[in-house]
Amino acid sequence: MRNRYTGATLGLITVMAFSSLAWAQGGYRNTEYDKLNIGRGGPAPKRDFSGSWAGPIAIDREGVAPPLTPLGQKLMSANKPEPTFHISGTNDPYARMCDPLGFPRNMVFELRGIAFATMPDRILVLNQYQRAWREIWMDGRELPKNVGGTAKDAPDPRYYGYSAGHWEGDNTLVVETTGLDDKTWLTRMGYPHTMEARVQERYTRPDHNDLQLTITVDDPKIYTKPFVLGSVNFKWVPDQQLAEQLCIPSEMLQYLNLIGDPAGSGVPPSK
Amino acid sequence: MANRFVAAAILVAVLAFTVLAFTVLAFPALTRAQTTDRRESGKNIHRDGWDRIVPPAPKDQKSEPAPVRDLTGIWEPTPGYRDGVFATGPREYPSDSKPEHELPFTPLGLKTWKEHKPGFGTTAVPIAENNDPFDICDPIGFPRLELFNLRALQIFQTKSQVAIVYQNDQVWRNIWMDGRELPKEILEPRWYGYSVGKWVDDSTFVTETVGLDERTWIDNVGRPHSDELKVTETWHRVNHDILEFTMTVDDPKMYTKPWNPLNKFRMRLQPEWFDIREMICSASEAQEYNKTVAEQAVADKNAKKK
Repeated sequence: MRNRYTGATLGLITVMAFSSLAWAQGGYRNTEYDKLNIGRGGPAPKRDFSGSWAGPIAIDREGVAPPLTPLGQKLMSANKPEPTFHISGTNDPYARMCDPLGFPRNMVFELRGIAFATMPDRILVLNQYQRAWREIWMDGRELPKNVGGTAKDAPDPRYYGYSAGHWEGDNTLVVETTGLDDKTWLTRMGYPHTMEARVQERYTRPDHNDLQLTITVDDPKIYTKPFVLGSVNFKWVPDQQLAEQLCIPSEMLQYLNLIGDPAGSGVPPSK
Repeated sequence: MANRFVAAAILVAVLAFTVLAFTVLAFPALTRAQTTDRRESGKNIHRDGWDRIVPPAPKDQKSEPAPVRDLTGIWEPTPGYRDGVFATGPREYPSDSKPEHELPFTPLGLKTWKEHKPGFGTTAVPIAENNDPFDICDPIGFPRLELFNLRALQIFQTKSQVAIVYQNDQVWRNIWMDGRELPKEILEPRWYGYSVGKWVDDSTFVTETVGLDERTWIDNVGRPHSDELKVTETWHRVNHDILEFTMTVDDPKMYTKPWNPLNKFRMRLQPEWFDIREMICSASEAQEYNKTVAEQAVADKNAKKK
């Protein structure tokens, strides 16, 4: 829950009110990320992102969804995103309950620490936020086609989906993901998705200290065309340490009871 | 959604509250859970996260010798992949009233344990009265991460650290082995603590962890810990395929002497294609489940009275 309300006045009050909500010690907050001025660090190693990286709290450029399909409009109208409805009125399952962010929302929000580990046939991705991890298969397997279906052998949808990747050249990794649990939102704006959504991550490491990511969503049942969800630039973390940064449901409940819900819509009363 | 939450909470709920079994079966969200369960266990078939069939473990524990100073790989409890669920407490010290399982509590330890209201073990209470922090999906924390629902885990190593990613609650932790010392003063306790480790011989890696948040329970039956808790893990790779895991809990405020919740608990190396199943605690699902089950339990109780 820490650092979620960075832009909001309420957030400041929260942080001051609960010492346990103090900003994560260690690790890379936005300011530290912004201050990271470590140059390019020489050439990038070949086909290897292993190590810890720092990104911003929120992505640099958040994508705007293209026109929605009728189903998309219906689902979207049921979602009440926090930026519009405030914490007291939102039905964002993450914002009020600390439910798992899921993928790809975990790659456009709270990116202050992320690590990659190269294992045989796969790459592990570790997020500092929520200490959640996922794996990207590199063994050439095909993505499952019937996730969430009624067939007996249909795999369950997952918060972090099913991911397979491949290298394009020595510095670019392309990852395709599907089978994402449709309870999650793509971003805090409440963009919905289906279990059949295809999400592509395209990572490029131009030099040792930089890693660039662009995320594209293709979900024709909801969106009339594919769109870029966002782009982010990660920087190499010099000491390689990540912090502990977790959303705690019991602290969230306390926050909502004491501050978030009494504050209501956050709109000041008219005079 | 079903598999993760169910595996964590419901599965064992059925074991402990047979009375509630019908309630659980009636809960619609479990429809998929049952499918998952059948897929996981039907005719002893064990499937990984991509629904690939995992070959049954060989009957013996023989294999090639262990590689030198290397724990890399995916490990799962053996001989049964569910042998690490530990719903009623860890293998060596379940909460079952047997004299040999009594823990060496200090007066404060016993008092604190009694204040905890778990869903399992000899001190179990109905869901509505339970105060288990993990029941509302607060972080499971360490060492409960390994003393309840110890399932598949994956270890990777670099020059400076060993990191473990767990099926349990989809979390990871890392253990520094760059020679640093544990922090002498804990400025901020953490749910997963501060860990360092070292190789004591070519097949044995020993870790120490301190700085653990006091809000967490040690296990699923509410054994307590204080800010003085120090956990030692010994990971001994017996041979290529078998890893023996021993844990020591040392907390002089709560226990008069150190104790071993796990002693040479066996885990087996899994094939490289093995994908760890997703198992995440979702607070909103847990809330709905707790509410539904708790309400039904009260209704059942009242119906019985009549």
